[in-house]
Amino acid sequence: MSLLEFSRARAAWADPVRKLKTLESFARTEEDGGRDIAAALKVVRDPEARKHLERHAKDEIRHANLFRGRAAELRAEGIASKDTEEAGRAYDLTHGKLADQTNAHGFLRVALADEMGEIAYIAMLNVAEKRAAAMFRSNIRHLNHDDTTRAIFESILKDEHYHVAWTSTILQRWKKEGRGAEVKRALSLAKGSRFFGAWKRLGARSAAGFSRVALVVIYFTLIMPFGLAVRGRKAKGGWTAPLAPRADLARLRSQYG
Amino acid sequence: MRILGLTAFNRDAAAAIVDDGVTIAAAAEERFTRVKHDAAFPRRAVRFCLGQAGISAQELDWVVFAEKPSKRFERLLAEEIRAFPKSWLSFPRVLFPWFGDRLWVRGRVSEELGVPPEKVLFSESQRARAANAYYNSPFDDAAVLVADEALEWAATTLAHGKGNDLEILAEISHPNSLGLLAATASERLGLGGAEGIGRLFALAGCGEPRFAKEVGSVLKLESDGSYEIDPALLERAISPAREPGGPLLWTDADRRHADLAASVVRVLGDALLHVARELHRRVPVDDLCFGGTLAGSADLNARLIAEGPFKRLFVPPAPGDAGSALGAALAATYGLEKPARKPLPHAFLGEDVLEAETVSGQRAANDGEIVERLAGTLAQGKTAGWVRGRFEWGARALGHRTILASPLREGVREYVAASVKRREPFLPLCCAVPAERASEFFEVPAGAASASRFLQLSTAPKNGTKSSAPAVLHVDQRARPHLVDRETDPLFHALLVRFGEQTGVPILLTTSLNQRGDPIARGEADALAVLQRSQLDLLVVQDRIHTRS
Repeated sequence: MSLLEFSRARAAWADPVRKLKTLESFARTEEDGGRDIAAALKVVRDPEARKHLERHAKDEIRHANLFRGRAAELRAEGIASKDTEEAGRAYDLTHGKLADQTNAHGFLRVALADEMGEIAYIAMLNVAEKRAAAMFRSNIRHLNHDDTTRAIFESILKDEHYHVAWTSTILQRWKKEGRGAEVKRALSLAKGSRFFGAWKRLGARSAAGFSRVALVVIYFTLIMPFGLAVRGRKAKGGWTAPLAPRADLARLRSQYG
Repeated sequence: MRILGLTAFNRDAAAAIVDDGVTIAAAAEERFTRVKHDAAFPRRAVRFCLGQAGISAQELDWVVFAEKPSKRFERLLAEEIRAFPKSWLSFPRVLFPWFGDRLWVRGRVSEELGVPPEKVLFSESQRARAANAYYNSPFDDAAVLVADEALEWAATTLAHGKGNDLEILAEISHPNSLGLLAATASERLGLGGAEGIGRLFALAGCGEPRFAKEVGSVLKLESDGSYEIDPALLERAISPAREPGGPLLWTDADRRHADLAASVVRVLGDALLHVARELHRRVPVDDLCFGGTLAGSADLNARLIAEGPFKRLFVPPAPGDAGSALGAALAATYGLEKPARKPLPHAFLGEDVLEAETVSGQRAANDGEIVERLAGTLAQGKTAGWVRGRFEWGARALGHRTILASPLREGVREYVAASVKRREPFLPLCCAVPAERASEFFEVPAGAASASRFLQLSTAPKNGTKSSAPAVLHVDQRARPHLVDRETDPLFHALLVRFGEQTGVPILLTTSLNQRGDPIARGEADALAVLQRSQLDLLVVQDRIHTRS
């Protein structure tokens, strides 16, 4: 866990509003994870992996309920009014984004088993669960002041260890069965995608900053003449005829008319 | 022909799937993400819709996005240019997401769903709203009115629906937008801008329109049936605004904010009636389908039917942003092919109940036991939550994710608002009544039965209702009744009848099963959270009965 993540986690658990939002975002992530793993059961054929996936899916749903229940308790204690939640939302661990963009597992998206195939899927789960276990361990360190939440994380951490163990065991077996190269490649891709994701996020943030500056420059150069030309002009009122009275395929294909 | 409709990036992202004109499923993204008015790409709603239809995205014939992105971009750019140089700060903020994402919606949809880009179509947002209002209605020849904020240019649209054909007749363009007027008023009153328009309508019920002249000065009704709004005067006309962080003034001591809201709603009603008369001149029929955000106001709908030129009114269960996903799918269905019309029989188009991983609660033996238990609890003056079947499409709870209470005592509304919903007391509660007995208690206009089935109309109570069921009346002395058909929802109907047998009044107070700031409950876990956090006495989820103890 990076220093940045460590300090972000510390700040999040120290603030009641952010704590509540983080618990709720974890609940959403776990619930989504559980559903996706249940969906993967339809695709993964290995009987041993299927047995573990079944339990894994149930674990994730149970974790979701634990997180959601704790969040509800905190709400009931009046930890955060809705107003302060709205204000605090931009500062919680999710940064106000949806759970699937910043989830506890790092990069678990929907219906991945279909796209990836079973080896890549189990490898991705293995990497994601290791990351989740590390994240939960770190979170526990910041929860000394809240025994109830800490106990929830500790119980979930045990499950995460089991998830790491079973995915590792299956991957090892596949290696022994002569699929070592596939497993190695899948693990590299899974690890790489995480770092690539972080790199992309950094790039996107920098680009966003530069783009805004560029747009201001455009405003005072390219837009200015048009702006001065139409200044003070009123928008046209009254009825206008539609560009296309009826929908047809040609019109529906167009992003404009 | 299987068509998926989508709306996103504005507010209330949603997805809907239509197969040969039959709506298979429709849901707003907020129900799944639990983020109120979630505007993100509706991934989960799409997944649900495809699952409900039992197909993969690759098996879709078309995917229709309920907006013409380039046209909307043009409108925003023009608006920024017109506001030069004051718009220098808003320009990068408004246009940045367009260059990054929204101008490339075809690619985004194609990538998210794994469908070829040529399968992605676009419908104007107003056409989608008009299609949502008309094709879901039981009418075969109807005038269609859409009033909303503008996404592309059009803000108010007149259309004519006949058989399976929908023709757009005329439009009024931004900034002449009644939706913009409502959104500005909501902003000025600190209700949350466009997302708070529903609360603005509710607040209006607590006030008198004493500022109607001042607010009306911003809006000029033209002799051709159109109207003009001077956006430069909007802020000044909508006064007195609420101080940032200040209290909302709506009680007897000082109700100036409620009066301002009432004034805005009065002006909006006048303008809508003016436009409706012009629509009737162009399309001289008896039936009106009304869509767009303003159609979410039960009071405006009541005025349209009481004072307008049309005899019958239909408002779809989701007339605004979310509904445009279904409307886009319907517009494409009937634009590309001409299947027979299939009016929407009910609004239960969402996901079936997700049961929580708990073993709590006792199981009822049959529906009769559930009805008996609920009726008994409610007759004692207690409150109950009821979760069953697929959740409702739209913002109204129609019995599948609903909080119920007895309306027989005064003060119940305030109790439900404070102790169960934990929300502002000025937000109205609705009530449910067996459709065949509605006329005993309410002045439901003959042509408004369709709108009342989806809880889109406020009505005056009959003389005896105030004494027999005082809590059904909102501050404005009007009620919002949901007419429950025996055929459409036999279990809810049975509950109302049983409650009536026990108390003499077959009416129950209803409101959505959620708390302040949360979307309506999706499954058992959300419902249990409400039970845990509120003073709700009983919760029935399918056949499982949970009590506070």
